[in-house]
Amino acid sequence: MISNFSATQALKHVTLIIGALIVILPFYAMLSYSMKSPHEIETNTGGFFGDQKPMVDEWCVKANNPSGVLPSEELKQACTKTPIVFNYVSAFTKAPLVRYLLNGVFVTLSIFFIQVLVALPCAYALAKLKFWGRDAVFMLVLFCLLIPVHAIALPLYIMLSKVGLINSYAALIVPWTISVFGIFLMRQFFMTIPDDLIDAARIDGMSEFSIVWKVMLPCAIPALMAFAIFSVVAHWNDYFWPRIAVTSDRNYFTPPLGLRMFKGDSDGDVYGPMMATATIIVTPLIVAFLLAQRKFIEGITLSGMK
Amino acid sequence: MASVTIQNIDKSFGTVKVLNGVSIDIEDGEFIVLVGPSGCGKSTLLRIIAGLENQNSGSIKIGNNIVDNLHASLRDIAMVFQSYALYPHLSVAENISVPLRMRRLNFLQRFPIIGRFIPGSKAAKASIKKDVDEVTEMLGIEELLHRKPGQLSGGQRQRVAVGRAMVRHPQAFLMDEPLSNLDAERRVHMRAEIAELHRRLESTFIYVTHDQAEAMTMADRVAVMMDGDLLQVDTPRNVYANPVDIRVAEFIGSPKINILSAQSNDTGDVNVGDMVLAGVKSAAKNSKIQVGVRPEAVTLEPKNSAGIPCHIVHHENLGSEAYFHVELNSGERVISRMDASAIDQFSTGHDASVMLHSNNVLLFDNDGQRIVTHNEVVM
Repeated sequence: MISNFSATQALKHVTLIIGALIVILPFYAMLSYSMKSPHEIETNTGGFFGDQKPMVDEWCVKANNPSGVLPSEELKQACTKTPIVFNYVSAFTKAPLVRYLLNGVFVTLSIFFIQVLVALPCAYALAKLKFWGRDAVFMLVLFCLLIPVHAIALPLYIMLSKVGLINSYAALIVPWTISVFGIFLMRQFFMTIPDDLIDAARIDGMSEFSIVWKVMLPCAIPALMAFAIFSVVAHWNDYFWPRIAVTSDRNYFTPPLGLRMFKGDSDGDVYGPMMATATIIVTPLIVAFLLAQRKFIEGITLSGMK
Repeated sequence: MASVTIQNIDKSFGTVKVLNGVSIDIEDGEFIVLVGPSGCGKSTLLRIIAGLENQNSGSIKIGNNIVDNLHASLRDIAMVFQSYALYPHLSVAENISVPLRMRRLNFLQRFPIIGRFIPGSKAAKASIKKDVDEVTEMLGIEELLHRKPGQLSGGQRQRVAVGRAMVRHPQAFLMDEPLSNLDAERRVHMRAEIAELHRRLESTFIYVTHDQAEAMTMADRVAVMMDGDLLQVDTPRNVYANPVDIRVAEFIGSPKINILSAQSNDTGDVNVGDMVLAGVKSAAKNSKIQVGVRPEAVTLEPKNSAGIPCHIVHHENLGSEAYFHVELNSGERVISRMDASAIDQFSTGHDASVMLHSNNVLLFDNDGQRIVTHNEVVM
């Protein structure tokens, strides 16, 4: 087998492995911390899983001992848990994480749904219809791609607060409903769909809107999946905008904002439950991604058209 | 079933003129083939008839109705596209039923689940299924009903596309090079099948192709188009034997017609090189003209004084016949089509004499217009 050894191949693999490690390590730390006790995290002991030695839950003790005198042994006994249970239970009890997750699902899916509702007809018009000023409109779309979100965050905030929408689902959803990236991506994909297919649909009696939803959409499933991943990942993980749009009402918190509950309060940083929360937040994305990946590979082929 | 009247259609894209006042009267039940090289405007004309493109001026009449302002779906015509344009996400049965669903079901009835509960949808769906079954049986594609277009061969897709066109019994069928995506063998087969379908449906067919073999074999009448002009509409036989324009003569026929420059004298005799064409009198006297001779009207003979001396440059043996490419002293090339047995006598590199069969000679003036000769009259 020595004869098959290739220095360049080995070098490539080493580089890729290092790259993979850099990407994976934060997730490794997150998963590991979510299972360890605070002491183990501070001293960096216990390996990946930690020792899982039962520990005393200080929050539990404090909550059941309002007088502040030295807690009884019984109470300490009742508040003793293994670190992994402590971390994950705290993640759900210290903050209403379930509500945040549902908020996240609602906001992300609403954004995606409305984005598709806007982007598909738009992309269809830009790709397949001839009208005066089409190229100018497309240039505007490209131009909008260049504008960073952060640049317009403040004016957006002011506009939303003027109409009284701050601290609402609308504030979280409305600014994202028109995705120029989505329009651009779908337009590029629609360009590859033969005009004959659209003409056939017109002769068959479909209206332009029917063509968008009944012909273009089914053909564009692979592109739409790609767009869904971009959109859902970006908005599920978004910390910046919800932090601005939700100023006081914690009922509208999205999952990333939930992480703040464990950060920098009077107890100091509590990494265990925080990392447990982070793990819970990323899990749905990873699961969705794996499911979508299969769909990607299966993807509806366009081979029937050419 | 209806006649289609095309009156004076003009069309330009920007500054490029693609159709110059094209007029054709297509009779009810006729199979007409629009043929011409690519870019001649034939597909544009078809798209204008279909309503997919608007003409700049002129008018289209289907049956007794002027359809210029009607949307494609309201013109009651069906079109078969070169790429078949089947909906890739729908099965064969669903593809064929789309035109009927759009016409017989209303907006609510077409909805996926709710549609079932809207009154009347059951009966309408049953009638659609019946019509789809009828068409698929006629085309012999019953066993493909549940497949997706991606799982079909080219010929099968082509049939499904024809089925989708047939299913609603349109006034006319428009076909835009429907065979050009098939391999040569299948194309010959489908050619016969489409001609047969036309006989069975007795409907009006307007068929666009750049392939003169398709035009000649299937058409009742051939319309030859070139550079946006309609040059000639006539039976395949007449288009071949009696072209009105040198461009028609050159486009139709394979191998291409031989064109030789010639001179007519004041009595109308025609001189090709030193040879006088016996029995041919040109109406254009004393002028430079062009002589067109089909390859089968050119024969080679051993060197003699009656024919035009030539040198055989190349010969092709096609089994039943052979093509001889010869060069005249003037440098002009001529192709002769003879029985394959002639190869024994004439072969590449030898000298011979070319004989032109005078009664098959076509004369054109320098602008390419047909000149009247004494023994035939241009139509």
